[in-house]
Amino acid sequence: MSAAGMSGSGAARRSPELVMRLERMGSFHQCRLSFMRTLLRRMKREGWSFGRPRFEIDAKGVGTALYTATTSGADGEPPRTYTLVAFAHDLPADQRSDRVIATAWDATFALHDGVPTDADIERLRANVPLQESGRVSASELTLSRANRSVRLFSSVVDSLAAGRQPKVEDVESIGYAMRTTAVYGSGKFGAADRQAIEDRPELVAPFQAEMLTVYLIRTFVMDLVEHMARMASPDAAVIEPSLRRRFGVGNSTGLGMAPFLLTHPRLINNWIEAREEALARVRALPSASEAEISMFLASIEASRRTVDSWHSEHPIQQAKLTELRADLDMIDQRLAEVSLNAADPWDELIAWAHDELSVEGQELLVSLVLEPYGPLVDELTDTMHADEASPVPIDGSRPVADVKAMVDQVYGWALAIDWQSAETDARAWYVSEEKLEPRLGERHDEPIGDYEQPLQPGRDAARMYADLDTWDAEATLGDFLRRHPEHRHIARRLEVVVDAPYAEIRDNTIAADMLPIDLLRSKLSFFGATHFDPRSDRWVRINMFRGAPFPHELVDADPDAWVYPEPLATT
Amino acid sequence: MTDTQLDLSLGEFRALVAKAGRGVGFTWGLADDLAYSAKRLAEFGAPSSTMVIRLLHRIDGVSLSRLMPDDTWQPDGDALCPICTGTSLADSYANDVETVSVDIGPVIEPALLVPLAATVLPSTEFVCSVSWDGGSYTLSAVGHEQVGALPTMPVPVTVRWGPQRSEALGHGEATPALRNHRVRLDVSVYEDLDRLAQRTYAPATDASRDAGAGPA
Repeated sequence: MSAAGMSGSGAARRSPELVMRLERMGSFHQCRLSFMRTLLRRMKREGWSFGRPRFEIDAKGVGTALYTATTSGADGEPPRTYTLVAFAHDLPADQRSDRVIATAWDATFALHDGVPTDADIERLRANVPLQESGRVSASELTLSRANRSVRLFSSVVDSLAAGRQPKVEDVESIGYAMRTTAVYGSGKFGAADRQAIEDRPELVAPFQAEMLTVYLIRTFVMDLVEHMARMASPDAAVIEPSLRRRFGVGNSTGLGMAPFLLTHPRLINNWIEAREEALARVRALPSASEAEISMFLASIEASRRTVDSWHSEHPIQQAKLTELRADLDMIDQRLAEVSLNAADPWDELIAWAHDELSVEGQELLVSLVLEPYGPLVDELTDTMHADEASPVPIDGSRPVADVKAMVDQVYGWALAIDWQSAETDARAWYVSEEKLEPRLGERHDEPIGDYEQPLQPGRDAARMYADLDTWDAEATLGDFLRRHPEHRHIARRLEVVVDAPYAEIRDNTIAADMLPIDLLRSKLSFFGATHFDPRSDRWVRINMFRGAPFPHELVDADPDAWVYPEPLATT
Repeated sequence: MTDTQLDLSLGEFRALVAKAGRGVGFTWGLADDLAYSAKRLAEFGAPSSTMVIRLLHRIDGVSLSRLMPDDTWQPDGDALCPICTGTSLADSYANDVETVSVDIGPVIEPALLVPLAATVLPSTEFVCSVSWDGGSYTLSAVGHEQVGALPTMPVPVTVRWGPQRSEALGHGEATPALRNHRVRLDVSVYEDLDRLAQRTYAPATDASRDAGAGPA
């Protein structure tokens, strides 16, 4: 069996040694299991209802709005309402910043658990717009802030006010009228802990409250631009529906998100294992129907449109896009030569891709072969959450020899690295006193080594191994940790990752040439983001829900097809 | 929330305590264990933040080797750290807990060791307790029971794992509704923990400002 998986009709998953490399994780694409799609499928399937009980916004775009999403009470659950509380501001241009540490935004939001009272709204108004000192409560699930797109927001309002549609070219190249700086959930800034809500079926899958927040923010933003145009001119146009759907919500994501991939190994394992299991199931299919083949070919064609409209100013992503476009040509050529009506069509195609395409192209194809197989793979979204509230016990009775064998199994790659080299130990993750943000610094240039966060499992495993090497093979791990408590965090991690194949990244996270954007993209791909646009090696802009049906369109819409939109006629 | 109290999520409380623990010299692994213990006790309404503050101030600057139990569960220094002791107990009895009792030398804030020792309970029908002259603290999957006042000075203790016999400690699976999902902290306690947590933050330098963290 190759690292890329078993050939033939077996259902082997790709090996962690292949998948869990930063270069590959930084090339992941959205797929059927992505969290935005999970949310839309559920809302459609269960027939959620939506409302806008309040929309009090003035001509400058200042005011308050409420948007509700109410579950249908499926499976014996009581119906539950979630309310986006939106505060719109008119921020002077010189105060607009994408930094989460900014002090003012064009719009601020909280997702309230239920229907807020007037007192709740006033409490949120006094807190949500404040950075750090602003607090929400156990009645809120998320907190978010957003800024207008300097390039698109005003031009859309002006076009509509003049009775014209916004230019398709502008909408396609920018893609959003507002972008969020962050969406905080899971207990941040006083919001409800995930532990408090994770038993609700609609919130079991990861990040569903956050995705719902962004989905409702998108609805609010589009209502806002149309409202401001109407306030400017009674003859204002409304955006043509297919063009309106081409607006997503932008998001800027920086280093603050990167440690998540390292601090939630059980969760990350479940995300990636679900995707790898989905791929294995599809590869194991002995044949494909005409309908399945048609759907796959249509998604290839639509992906080409997405890739063509995917612009990046960053050299790394530009190079990857060039390769990806060439990969799409090669896929077309391959499909012209080798029929998908042959035996084991998907396994053959994926095996070929691993030999011939760039990693970016391989991972796009992985996502696309899942598209025709919702009934086969969508249920895997039920396996993507993890109980992380309790620590995994360390088995202190293990002999040192066994612990070393476990390190060898998971961290063999790290044991092969020379950690004395300035290149391999070049950086340190730390939190700065000034901004309270996670940062990645140059260990040998800055006085940060003493403040290092435990975000370099490879190096730490190698350090533990070196100390284990000086102990008797029959001694116990418990005794070892009493003498070496500095290894306790990696010993516990070992207990997790040894049984969770996709929990650990097989790369050096403090190497001189490590790209934090690879960490960011892998997470954002599971959100379902498209159009990754790195702005440096450590922050990236994305687009969320671009193409998705709005709440009032959901009943008649395909909750999955929006990811692969039809082309728009240019104006 | 009042002017004198803060209402924290469990996640916020856990993160704050972990940083404070690291700030006084716990390793990252032990700091995480401290934070888990404090959060677990807080879920049941025990005054864990007060215990944590007393513990951290007492051990601030003390070498971990002086706080770690020896082979006979006695301290090398004056008293044992409950986190070092609780984790060592869990490590030592991970596969061996039916009904076990261990006598242990003087322990600071002994209730803090219980959630850690309890991580190796074989089922929800078992409990873990720590007892001292004049009192005890017991934890099951769904409840806790305190007898007598919690000691504020180090005391010799006995830790027991065994079948639970008290109705007060409940049966079966944990019910989230029985637990607290929030932690109310006096502002002074919060500020005390935060001061210790700040020791984990690197002073800003020109180099770090120049490197830039990105927008989020």
